[in-house]
Amino acid sequence: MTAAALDFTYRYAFPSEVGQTERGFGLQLATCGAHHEQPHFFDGKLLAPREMGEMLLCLSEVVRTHFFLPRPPLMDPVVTSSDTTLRFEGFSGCCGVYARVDLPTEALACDHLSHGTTNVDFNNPMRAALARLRDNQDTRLAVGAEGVELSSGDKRVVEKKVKLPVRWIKGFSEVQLYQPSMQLKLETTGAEGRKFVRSLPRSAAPKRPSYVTRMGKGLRLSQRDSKDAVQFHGTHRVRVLEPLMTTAKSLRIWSDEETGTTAWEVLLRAGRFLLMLSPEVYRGFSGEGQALEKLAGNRWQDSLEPVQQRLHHQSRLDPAELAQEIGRPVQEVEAALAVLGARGLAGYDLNRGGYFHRQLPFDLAEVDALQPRLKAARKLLDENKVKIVAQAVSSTDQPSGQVELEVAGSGVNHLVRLREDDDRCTCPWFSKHQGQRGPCKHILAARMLTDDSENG
Amino acid sequence: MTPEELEDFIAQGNPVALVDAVSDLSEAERKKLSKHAQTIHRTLEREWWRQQESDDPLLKRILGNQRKNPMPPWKHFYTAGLALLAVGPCSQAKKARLRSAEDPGEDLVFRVLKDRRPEWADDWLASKFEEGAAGLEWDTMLRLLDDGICRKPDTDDYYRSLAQGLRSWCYQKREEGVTLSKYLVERKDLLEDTWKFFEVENDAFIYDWGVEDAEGWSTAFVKLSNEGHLDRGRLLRATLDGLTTGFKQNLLSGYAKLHERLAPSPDELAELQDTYCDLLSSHLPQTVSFAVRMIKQLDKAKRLDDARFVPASASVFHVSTKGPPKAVIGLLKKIAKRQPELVSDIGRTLLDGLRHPSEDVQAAALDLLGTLGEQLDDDVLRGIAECREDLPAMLHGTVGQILAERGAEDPATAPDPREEIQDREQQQLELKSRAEAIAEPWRSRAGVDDAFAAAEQPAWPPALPFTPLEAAPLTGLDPVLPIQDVDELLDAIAHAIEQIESTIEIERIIDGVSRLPLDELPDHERRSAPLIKRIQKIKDSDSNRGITSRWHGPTELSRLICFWLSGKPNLAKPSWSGRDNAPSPLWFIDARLEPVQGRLQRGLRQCQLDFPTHQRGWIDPREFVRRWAELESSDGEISGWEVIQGLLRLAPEGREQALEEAASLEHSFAAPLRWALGGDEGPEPASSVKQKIDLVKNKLLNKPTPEAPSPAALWLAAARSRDPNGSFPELKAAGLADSGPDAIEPAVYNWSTGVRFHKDSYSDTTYRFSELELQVQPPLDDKPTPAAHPTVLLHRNEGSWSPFGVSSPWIADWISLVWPARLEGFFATGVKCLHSRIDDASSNWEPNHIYFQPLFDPDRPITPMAAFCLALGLSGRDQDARGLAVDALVEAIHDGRAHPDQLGDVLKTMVEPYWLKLNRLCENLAEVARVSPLHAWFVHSAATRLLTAYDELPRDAHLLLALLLELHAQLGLPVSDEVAQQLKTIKGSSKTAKLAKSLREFEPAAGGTLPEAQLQLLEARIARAERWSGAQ
Repeated sequence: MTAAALDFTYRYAFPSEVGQTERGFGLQLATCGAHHEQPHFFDGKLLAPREMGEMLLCLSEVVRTHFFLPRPPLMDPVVTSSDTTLRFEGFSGCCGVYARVDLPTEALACDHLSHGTTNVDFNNPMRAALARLRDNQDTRLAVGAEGVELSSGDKRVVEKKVKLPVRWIKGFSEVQLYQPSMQLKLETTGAEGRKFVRSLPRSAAPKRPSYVTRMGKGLRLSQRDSKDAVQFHGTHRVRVLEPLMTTAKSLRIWSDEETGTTAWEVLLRAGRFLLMLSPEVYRGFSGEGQALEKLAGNRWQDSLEPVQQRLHHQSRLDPAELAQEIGRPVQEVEAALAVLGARGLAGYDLNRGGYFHRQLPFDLAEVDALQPRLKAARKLLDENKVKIVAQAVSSTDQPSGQVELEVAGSGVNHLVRLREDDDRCTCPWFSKHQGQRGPCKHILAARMLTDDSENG
Repeated sequence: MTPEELEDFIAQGNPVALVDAVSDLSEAERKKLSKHAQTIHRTLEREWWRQQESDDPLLKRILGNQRKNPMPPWKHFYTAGLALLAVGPCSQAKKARLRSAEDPGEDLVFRVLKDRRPEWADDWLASKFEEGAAGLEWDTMLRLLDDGICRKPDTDDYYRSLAQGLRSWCYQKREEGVTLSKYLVERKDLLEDTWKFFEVENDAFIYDWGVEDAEGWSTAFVKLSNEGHLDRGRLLRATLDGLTTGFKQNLLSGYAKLHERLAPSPDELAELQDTYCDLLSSHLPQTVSFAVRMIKQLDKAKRLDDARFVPASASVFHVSTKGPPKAVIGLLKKIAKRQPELVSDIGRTLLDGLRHPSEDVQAAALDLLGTLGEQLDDDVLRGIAECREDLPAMLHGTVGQILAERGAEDPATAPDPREEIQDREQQQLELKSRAEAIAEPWRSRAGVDDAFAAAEQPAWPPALPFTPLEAAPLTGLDPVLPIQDVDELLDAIAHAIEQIESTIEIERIIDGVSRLPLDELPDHERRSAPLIKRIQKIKDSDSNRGITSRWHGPTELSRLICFWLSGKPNLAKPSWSGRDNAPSPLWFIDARLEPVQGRLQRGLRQCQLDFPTHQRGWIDPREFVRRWAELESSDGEISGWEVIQGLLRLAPEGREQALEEAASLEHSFAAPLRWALGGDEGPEPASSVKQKIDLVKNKLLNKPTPEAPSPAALWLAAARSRDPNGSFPELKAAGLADSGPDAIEPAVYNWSTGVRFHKDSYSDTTYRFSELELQVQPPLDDKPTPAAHPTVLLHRNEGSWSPFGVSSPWIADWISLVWPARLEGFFATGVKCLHSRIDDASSNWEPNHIYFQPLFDPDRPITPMAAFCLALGLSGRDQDARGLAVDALVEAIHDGRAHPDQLGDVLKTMVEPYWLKLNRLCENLAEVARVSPLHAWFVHSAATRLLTAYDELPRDAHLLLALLLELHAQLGLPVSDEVAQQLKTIKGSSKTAKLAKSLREFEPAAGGTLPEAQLQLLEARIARAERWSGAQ
């Protein structure tokens, strides 16, 4: 392991393939967990094979793409099986695009279904075959195979050694935190969605932010902000949806204006495809710092363990129900779920508006402590470089939320002003991003200090 | 050998002597020398370029005789590399630079390894393969393998090196008669390795040498296959397997080309038929295109399995290019004739074609569906009806016809035309009553009556006649709020040091700095210290794009901010300034800011007289006079520079009232103000001694002056504020020596286009360059324009690397706020920039999109230069500029400012061959037309005007005709006689000729959207008149 990447070996008992199996023609996906186990999660028939093939291909395209450097990574997607949904997730090599295929069990005739999350092998011959799936052909899907074990000397065993960048794993986990604050901004029919996606530039993409805006029944790409327009960066990142649009029923666009993140949801007969874009092409989801306030605070700590104990591959986690079960406030449970999301233990389903349980099949223990801004903030506290210089009091002589702190920086002291809803710092990072990319290390340290003093 | 002896060999640059000397050393002896060899190698690699200054004794000893040679010491590098290989450990040997022209031809690397036989030789060789061609000479690698010094690695890098290295090696030996095919016949082991070329990503088949006696891999494979050295069947299959690998597109094209060069026989084609059909589902157009070509060969040989091909062919409609889908439709047509039992399947397949992005493919698919008639089943008919939304308007009639012929249900039943007419009449009545409620002159100025008159025709009404001063721009723009306190100002400065969100923010900061003393804030040092530190840290940084940037900001802005923060103006003075000092409006901006700093130094705090009250830089005249009066009453300073800037920003609204209030102003500059506001007392002939001195000074002026502007400059600003488009001969009498554009006379631009050909003698290629000659009248003086004449400076865009001498979007935008009433100079600069990059992608260093920003003001008239900017933006490759040009045009059509005749006339000036990019233009115009019926009508009219400008249609005219045909169908408009006459002259069977025929024969169907477009146009003009009238 280097500082920036973890060595990881995908080890599959056989290559994923499309072809004749014992139970008929279909797609047989090979599985591999974090500790090289090969679980068997699903066996059944596809009701719309062509669309499913297209969605998996599109997902694979995202996973194999680095959207600003010609450096294709070799990571594989992850599948989660639950009672109601089979979800395939992937993350681009540049860490700026997250994609997920949600196949509701209604679109599958299940013969065997069990719960869990695992990597799935996506190889070139299988990708080529996926594109050939047709609706008029009976097609089965198997995720894993019964009784398969790895045996040395088996020529069918597929091994792929990759370096998983830490920021890739972190981004894959933290991307879930952006979704709860997203709002549905635009929705259009499949035909109009097709026209829009096809109208995106094919060659040189704009360097400035682009906007999608309503135009009659349809959508239009614009280079200018306007009322109800949704800003996004990198038209080429949205273009990956083009093959899916041929049979799409509708296109939905979600956005969180504060973070600048967008999610593009294509609804098809076979299921849903979600494409989430980071605020800028050159910015990944990891290190964006949206999670930092939650991770830095300690309001979730009492709920974390009981919530984690109640995770058993539910396809929807209801915070209110969980709160009642463990006897803690709903907000605390929500914060705990967000933290679990950041640790790769929960995903968020935008369409259904809630978390679902899944455990990313990587060893996340090493990654958890590597959040650089959080580390830097803790270091500032450990070195006693944060001191309160003023604290406003309310009319009842109680400390108000307004605190001013001095935090030692490189050759200069930064002034942090903590407010109820608008923390500010004099450092260049904050001055530039104005909190849009999460709090700076000085604000984090200040918040940690004041939280500690509040809690005695 | 001692370390000193080793040094000597390297210092002499004598590799042969070194290799001889180390040949018999034991591993223990080598190990002793290892550390020293590493030090020498490292020192040479890292320090050689500093040999002149370095005091390193080792470097001096080795390169003593090289001290004055600026070239790298290759001989020394090579000898040091060999030394490292001979005595160093594996990790260091991997780093040794061993490929050199300095090798005396004795393959010293081979000798060193043969003598030493290190146990890490395999590992070392694998690392050299990893480096590719740069690693080691190919024949050295081969000798090492052949002599058993190293074993062949089974890695992708080895096969890549084999492809690249062996090809180059054979090329070098071609004069000795060595070719790849001959060599490989001798080397069966390597021949077997070449099968991996179809499994490992490599560039073997991308190209063949363009030299007769040199073979590339494709030629070699064809020869080897023909001569029986390679299994032909395996080779054919391997090329197809290669096409499914997911490698880069150009590599896959290499496999396809090789397959075609092998010219499979009908039997071979038939055997590979399934694979060809599978390849149709590739997402890469080149692969699909190849598969279609092979299937066509099968069809020609009468060996195509129709039942296998038809279902597989649906995949072809996934590719966005139209060639392969059209070819497949052609094949399906033939199959439908010979195999009627497959018609139902063919119909289902063609439904995918109806959703293809190309209208040509959609039309071909629909055409074939129409001929299948009776044999189509209900599912297919339902599918056709569902696809209607995907099809262009010109095909809707055919859909209706197919469904009607088969008695199928058509969900898109046309609404009752009588009801539609009634609805429209009702809407028109409502618009009329709204129009009648609008007072003059607003109704006329907004062209409302013209629009009603034109609606009777139907035709486009005349263009909106207003000038900026006849409009009410403040009604359409947001007010600008000044910064409230020092706390807010510090936050604004902190952000602007890093990043500038809007140019109005800069004006807010200048106003804040002018008004608010830093020490008003109790803990101001805590707040300002980090900012001061930051400014000092980034002052020399090239990536600094904020207000203190040496590349971008006006010098005085940076000085002003620094002075306010620290009391030291030169805090951020960079080691050198990146700014181009060619004459530009920045001269005026700098001069305008200097007095502000002077006031701060004197401890004077006052509001900024020229601070905009509204976006785009406008100032409400009433507020301007109020500020002026306040300054007079408080003994504030009235800077001539601020007066000039303020006058040029005065909005038309409220001038009368402001003039009344200005009557009591006493300052000597108040006379120009009153004249600007419409007063009667204009400039008087220069007579006073001071005015004469100013006159002489202006004439002698050869650099921008920071001193107070001359009275003539104040009168010039007043005149241009009074009437931006007017002529003011009285200014000359008042001492104005400047006769440039927008001084005494308003600027008028003319342009001509041309094409320059340049033949490259090396490649024998002729390059074409579009040329633009832009002329302004009156012309610019040869001598520099005074800083106090910003209206003239706006036309000076001679910066050597950027027209305004800056490249940040915010500076260009800021320049557009200098004189918001008239931006011809600004747009002319835009024209120059957009033309110079018309075939280039977006650039952060030349952000041309900024020239469209002012066009989003609802009261900015579309002047000729603005229209030219739009035309260039729509024809350019820069996606940022293209996108904003589309947006600006959409907006200007929506609010009624844009007129199709004007855009059409500008486009007419660009019809010179090779000038106008019709593919880009038509694509962008089609995007504009999609927005609404009004936009479609506009585009139709502008495109028609462009079409009629051509004496002879260009090769790509079909793009324009296709656009027009679609818009005629959408709007329900007949083709005019003039256009029909022009189209009659187009003969032949080209695409253009076919479309010309379709257009000539076009008959509009009922239900076109033209009436809706007319209502939208009326609505736009009425809404404008209502807004303007509401301002009073």
